[in-house]
Amino acid sequence: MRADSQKQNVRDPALTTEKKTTMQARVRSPAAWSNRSPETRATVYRTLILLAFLVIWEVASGTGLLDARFVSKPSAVLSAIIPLIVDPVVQKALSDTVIAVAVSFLIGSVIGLLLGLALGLSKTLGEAYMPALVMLVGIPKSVFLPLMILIFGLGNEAGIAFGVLLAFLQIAINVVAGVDSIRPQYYSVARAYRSGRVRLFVDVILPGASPGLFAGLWHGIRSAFIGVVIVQMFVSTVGVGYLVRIYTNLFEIDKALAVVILVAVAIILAGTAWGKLEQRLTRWRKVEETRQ
Amino acid sequence: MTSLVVEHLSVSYQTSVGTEISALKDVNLQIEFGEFVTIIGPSGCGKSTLLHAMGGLLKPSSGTISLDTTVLTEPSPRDAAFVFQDYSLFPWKSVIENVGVGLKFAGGSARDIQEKAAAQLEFVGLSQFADRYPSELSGGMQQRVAIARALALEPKFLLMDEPFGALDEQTRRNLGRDLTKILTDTGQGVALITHSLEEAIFWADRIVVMSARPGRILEEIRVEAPRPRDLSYMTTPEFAELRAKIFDLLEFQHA
Amino acid sequence: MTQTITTKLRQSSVSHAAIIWGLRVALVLALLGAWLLGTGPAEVSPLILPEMTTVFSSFISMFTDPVIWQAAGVTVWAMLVAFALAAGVGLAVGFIVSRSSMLSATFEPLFAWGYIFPVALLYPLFLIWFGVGVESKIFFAFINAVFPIAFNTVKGLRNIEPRYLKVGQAFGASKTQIDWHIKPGAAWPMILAGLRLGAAMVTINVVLAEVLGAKAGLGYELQQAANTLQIADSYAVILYLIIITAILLGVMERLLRPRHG
Repeated sequence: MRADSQKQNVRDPALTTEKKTTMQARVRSPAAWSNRSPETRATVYRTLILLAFLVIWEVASGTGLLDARFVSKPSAVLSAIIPLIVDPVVQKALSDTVIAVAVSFLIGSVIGLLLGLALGLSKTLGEAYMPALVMLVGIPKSVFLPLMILIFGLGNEAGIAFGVLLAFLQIAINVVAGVDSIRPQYYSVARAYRSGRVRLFVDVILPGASPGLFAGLWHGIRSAFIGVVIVQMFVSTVGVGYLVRIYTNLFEIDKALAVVILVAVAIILAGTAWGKLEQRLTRWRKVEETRQ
Repeated sequence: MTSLVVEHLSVSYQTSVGTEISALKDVNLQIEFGEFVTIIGPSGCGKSTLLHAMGGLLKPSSGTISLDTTVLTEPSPRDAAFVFQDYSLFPWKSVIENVGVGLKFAGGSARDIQEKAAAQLEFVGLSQFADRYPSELSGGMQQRVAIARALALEPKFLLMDEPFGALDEQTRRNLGRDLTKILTDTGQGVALITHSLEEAIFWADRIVVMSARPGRILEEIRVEAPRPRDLSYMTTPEFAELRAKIFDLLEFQHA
Repeated sequence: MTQTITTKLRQSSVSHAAIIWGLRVALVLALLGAWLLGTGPAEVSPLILPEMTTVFSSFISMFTDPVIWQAAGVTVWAMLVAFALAAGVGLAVGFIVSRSSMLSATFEPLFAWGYIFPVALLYPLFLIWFGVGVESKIFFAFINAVFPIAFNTVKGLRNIEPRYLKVGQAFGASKTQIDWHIKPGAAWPMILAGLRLGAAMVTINVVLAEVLGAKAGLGYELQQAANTLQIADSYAVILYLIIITAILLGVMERLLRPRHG
């Protein structure tokens, strides 16, 4: 999935003469609901949908339609959030997770970047090994979980190792895609101007591969996180995954869900921020794409 | 005899910042059935807009496009069929399916469509590629498929938007040679946009020279030499004279 | 003259293929070599790296073991059902949502969030909500897979290249005809990408569920073997799992690949 810029359906100005009449309407009655931008309206609808979901959940749990011991209710979950944030146990779990993710991401991105560049830049290597890489990405790496536990034991290392495995594959494959997408003309231009290897890399390869790089880094972090958390859920005694497992087993569902919500919000915020950052840094791409 | 009539056509649109841009201003043009008209003008003069309007692909701000007395308000491929500069074939459909696209939208039995499409493919000389996909064909071949697609509906007029723009010289000449045959055989009226002076003169019964934006018709020049023409026509003094004249008109605009 | 050129081209493509396969064989040999080194001179514990021969004999004997085949059946069944559900629901919902710009604007981010969020984190909760049976496994995989499929379907159908719509218009297509004959074809690459993601999600999460908590399936067998320290067996099961999922994904790819390539 690419975090592509959205292209409007039909951009040709002459084909959308209805726009003129809408603009006039906008001037006439500025405060009307139908004249708010569609993005704002969509956000409102989305919020309403989520609120409705929460309300139904609350009522269903309250009236016994859903067993509150199993699914808890929004009010309980929300009220569990604050005490959890200040709980040192939770804070340690969060920091342990972040550290583990960071370490596995760093190791994974180094391996993944090198592998991706090697396969992307060398036609022969790429042709020889890409099918294997694609296959590795496709198969469920969770098959290696029991082995990793055996090799690395029950501590943090297993989580980091699994995170590295998931991360480097994602990064590698995205880097290859990114390098592949560099238009051959840029290479020719660089060669015509006799740019040195380093210049070629910095000025042509890095920016050209940037969507692939950005996608790779994002998927890499996400994969590292998943890898770390899965191991934590399974066996570890540290981290966010461990928290969810423990709270669930103790039937403290409200706390378990509170942790999940915190993680979800953090990830969604991070994802949106990342998307915006990528858009900012790769603004020149939009001009490229529309010209095609 | 049918004619495609453009009367007092003006097209303007709003840009994203709200300013109004006038693309065409009060254009009047008439193309007779069987006539080959080429349209040439500086970049951005609105020739493409004019053709799109003639094809019913955009609503004019004022003025009308009519076929004889019937006003055209939407695309009518049986009357005027379009050939795009980038061919725009559907990559997910086979060559013969692409040719039959217009027939399919108009409704009709599958067998009927297959027969007519096959006939058109034969006409443009690509029968053996019927089951291939556009990505497997060269640019020139894809353009032939696009032309076959337009001709499949047996339109009275053919609207061609710089059909040779994306092709190299060699392919252009070959395609041009075949097109002469095709178009004289079917005999419809053609409006062809080009930015090449040579093409504009070589093909045309009449050359329409447009001004820079907002586009108006500067002059219409008749070409007397009978069609179809041999490539040697391009070496005649008449050709050189016409070329100089059009060049002047276009240059005068830029000054 | 042309004959020498074509023979030259053929020769260079033969030597090219030779290089490619040479590289691949070299990698396999290197891995096998590392394995032999590990079990031999490097003296890696057999609990981590059993002898190659024991793993292969384990692999061979499992081929005729009904328990393994039954487990494989459970796993494959769960994957197929989960994917069918995810594809069916994802495509349908994606298609419906794409019809209206308001619906798309509202739901596309929701689908994106569903994809971004690691649903795997919810697994312990899934276990107590839905139990450890096959349905729970299928539902877990389904939830993971449905979001990328729906998201890509909406994105693909809403971002058709304008020139294809223009062609439709120019050739007299009605709105219905554009919806049914042009949009799906134009959107297919994007939709296919979504289906691929969904398929990957399904294989990964069915196996995950089996390894972590289910009571049947190849993942469960793997867990059992590892827990009882029959390491050679667990390696063999891993090989079977890899081969089976690779085959499933390959079949899906072949079935769904657009003909024009």
